Amino acid sequence: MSTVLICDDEQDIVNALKIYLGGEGYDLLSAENGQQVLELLAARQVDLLLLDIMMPGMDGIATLSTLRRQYNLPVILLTAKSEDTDKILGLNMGADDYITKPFNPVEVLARVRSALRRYTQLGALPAKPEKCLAVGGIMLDDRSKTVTLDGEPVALTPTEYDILYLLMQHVGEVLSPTEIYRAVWNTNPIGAEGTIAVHIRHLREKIEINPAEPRYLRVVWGKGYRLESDKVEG
Amino acid sequence: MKKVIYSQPIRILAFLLAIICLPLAVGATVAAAWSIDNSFSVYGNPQKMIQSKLQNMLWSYTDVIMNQELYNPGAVQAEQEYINLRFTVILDGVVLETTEQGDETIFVQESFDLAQYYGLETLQQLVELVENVPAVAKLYRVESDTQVYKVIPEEASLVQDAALLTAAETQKSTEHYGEKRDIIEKETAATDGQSEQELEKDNEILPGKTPYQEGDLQLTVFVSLANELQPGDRFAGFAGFMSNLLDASDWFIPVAGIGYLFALIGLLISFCAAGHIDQSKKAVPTRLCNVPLEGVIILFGTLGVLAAAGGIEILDAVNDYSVWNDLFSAILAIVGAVFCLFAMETFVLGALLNLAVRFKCGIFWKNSLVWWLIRWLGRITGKGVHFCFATVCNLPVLGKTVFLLLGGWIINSIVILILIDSGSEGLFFLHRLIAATLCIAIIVWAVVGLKDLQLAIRNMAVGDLDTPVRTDRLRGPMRGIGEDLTHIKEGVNLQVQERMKSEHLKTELITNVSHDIKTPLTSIINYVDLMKKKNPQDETLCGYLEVLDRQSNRLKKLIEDLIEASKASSGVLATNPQQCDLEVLLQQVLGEYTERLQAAGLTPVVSLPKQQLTVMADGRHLWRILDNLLNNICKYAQSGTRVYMDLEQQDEWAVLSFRNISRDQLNISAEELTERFIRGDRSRHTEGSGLGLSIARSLTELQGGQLQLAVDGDLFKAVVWFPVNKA
Repeated sequence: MSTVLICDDEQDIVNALKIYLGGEGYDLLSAENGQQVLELLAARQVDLLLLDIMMPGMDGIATLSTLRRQYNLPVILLTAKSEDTDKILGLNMGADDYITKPFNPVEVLARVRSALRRYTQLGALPAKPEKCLAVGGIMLDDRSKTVTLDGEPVALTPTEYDILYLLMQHVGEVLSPTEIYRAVWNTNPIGAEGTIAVHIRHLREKIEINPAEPRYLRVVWGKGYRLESDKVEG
Repeated sequence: MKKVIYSQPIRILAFLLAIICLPLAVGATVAAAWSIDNSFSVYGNPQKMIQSKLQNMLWSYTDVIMNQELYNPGAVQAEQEYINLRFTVILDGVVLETTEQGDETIFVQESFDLAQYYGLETLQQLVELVENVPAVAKLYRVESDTQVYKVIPEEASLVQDAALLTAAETQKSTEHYGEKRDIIEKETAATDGQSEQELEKDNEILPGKTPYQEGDLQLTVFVSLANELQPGDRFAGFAGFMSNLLDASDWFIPVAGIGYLFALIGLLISFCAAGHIDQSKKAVPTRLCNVPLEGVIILFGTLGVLAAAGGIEILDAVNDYSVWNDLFSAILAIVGAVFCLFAMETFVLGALLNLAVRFKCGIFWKNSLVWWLIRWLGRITGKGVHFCFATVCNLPVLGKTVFLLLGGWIINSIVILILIDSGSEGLFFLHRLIAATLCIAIIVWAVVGLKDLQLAIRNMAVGDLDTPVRTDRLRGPMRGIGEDLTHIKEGVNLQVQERMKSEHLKTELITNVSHDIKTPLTSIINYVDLMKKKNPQDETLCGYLEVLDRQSNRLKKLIEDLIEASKASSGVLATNPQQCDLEVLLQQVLGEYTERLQAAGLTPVVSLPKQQLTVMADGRHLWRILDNLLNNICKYAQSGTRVYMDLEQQDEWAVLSFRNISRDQLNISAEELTERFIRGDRSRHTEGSGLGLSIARSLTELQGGQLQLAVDGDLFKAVVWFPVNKA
């Protein structure tokens, strides 16, 4: 089973996380500051790191930049600093994900799971067949009309599938509801843009761990929708 | 060394030295000059002395005659003729003077009798005149053109071996007289200048008189001098003295030199020591210095002049040679003259030394009447000017301006009047030029000053508080205004900075504190959740856990809203304005809220415009605003009612309005609702932090829009305005 290292200067949070993650069956390690993290990383094989930013001595960002020189393991930042700038900084420094406190424990678990799947599957990425699109952890196989998220299949309605397919074809681009409608229904939308919004929302709820803070499917308010491949916040 | 000089005996010695040596030196110089010049030889030679004396007297006598004082009115007859008088004195064969009075005429009668004309008085006076000359000179004959007169001195004692001229001699002389005036040689030959002849007192008219002719009337006076000067004769004494002096002429220049040297030393010491009484190092004013400068000058000047006058009087007597008769009077005269000289020198030198003392003490001018007068005048004027100036300066600005204008006009008028008098075109032009230049300069200066002020005020109005106010070109009242402006600016700047600082502190406080709150809150939520997972059997326990869960979540929401609100209101929120299609936005929002509205039993009624409406705004903030508004609607709208959402364009504005029926009665005004922490439900027992509308308004205003709320009974209306962006 994978080894997860939890680092936070608040002992209560560490214990709580241990209980949650222990229930999933991971091997757990804990640290209280950046120094301990580095020592543990050097000593043991760690598969995932849950890292707090606000710590005495060496803070999370500094630890992250140091360990990223050596280790490639997924790092999820856990912090009360919820400013966009903080998130961008953290992710740019090399974190794979970012969770703000207070967090929903279920969400934490889901993110840990997805991160581990990605990490362990990284080396064993199957060769992409022609009609297979991949964005981040989403894999869409057009021949079989299946969509997998980090390995797990996702059940989508045909409309949702079409929309997702379209978005994955234009990954990173903003598509207006009109364009989506035209592409999917092949007609001009006449007062039917609202349905697009609803579909998008359903889609989001299915493929996002936290639909309120989507990682892939972003709403660009006033313009349209965009599928993100990079972990870019904001 | 200085002490020696400053001692009293030395000073006195120096003074005396100067007084004595200076005249000595000057006298020696003059004597030396005389000895070089021949005039000295005159005083060594009695004849020459007498000659010069006679010369002087001749002038005065001629003047007398020419002034017609001797003219005898009775002798003038009907017919008058003009006569030119020529008066010649021959002294021992030497013609002393020939007077020609060509322009002066004497009226004479036809049958003119010189003797009668001249009258006895004339010749008598001539005798007296000559008698005034030293006794050794004897007038022995007077000749006119046609006549020869013998003049016999009155005092017989003076006559020595007088001999009457024979008629033959007279004849001879007359004959000669008619032809030419070679009498000089003749007489020189006839008389060897040694014999004195007795002159008759009575004027005898000798025969041989020829009628006079028109033209010159020659009157010749023959005077003879004795070579030997009688002892007791004043000339003798003086001549003897002078000849002795002449012998000593070699000594004159050295004596003069030494005299000057000593005089110089004496003067130097005197002047150096002046004022240093009691051997003091610094010059101390004497009591005399208290007298005003003019007083000293006048007093000593007068004394000096008196002394000099006395001396001159004595010298006159000396010059007359009468004092040389006896030694005693001669010595007395000399002593007297010297005394007067010394007196004059003392006064003069004393005055000069006193001036020197004043100068050294630096009170040269201070103790003078002139100075006192000037000072008094200066004080008066100063007080007057000061008073005027103070009055003018204390006038208000208007008064000052009026005063200046009046003054300028008066000066201008005076100048014009003066120029009119002079009547010079060039000056007039110059005056006009100057006046125009002055006016223009003043106006330009005023305008420049105003411009500077205006610029400064404009900067402040616009909000630029950093550019400093230019006061270097302002003067007078405008400078005061400029400085006041600077103060205002600084005050405003200070206030703005304080505001910013307090805002900054507020934001920092909120973010830091919120972070500190969030950390324990995380633990609370986590452990509550864990407890829930344990699935307790006890119902009440479950209830308690439910409460804990709900409240902690509410707390979490509150914190998040608080941060949002503070960021939005303090304006530190980063906005990324882009073109947003409002229709698309509304659709997206509706898409998010479809189920929630359904769950609340609300039916959305949407009205969209025909054309595309875009605004420049940050999409995320717009979403947040609408999110808050719709959230409120879901929470507070009456179930089973419709919610109207309209998007339209009014003039330059894009207007998005939401109308719904409120479930509970709203007894708060719309404005109060947008205040922070105000909730529709005064009892605050329902969900919500109370910040939703406040955040919505802050976000709207941050992007240049407006949020208006209206409450009409149970109808709640929220309108969002944004300026339309012309795509």
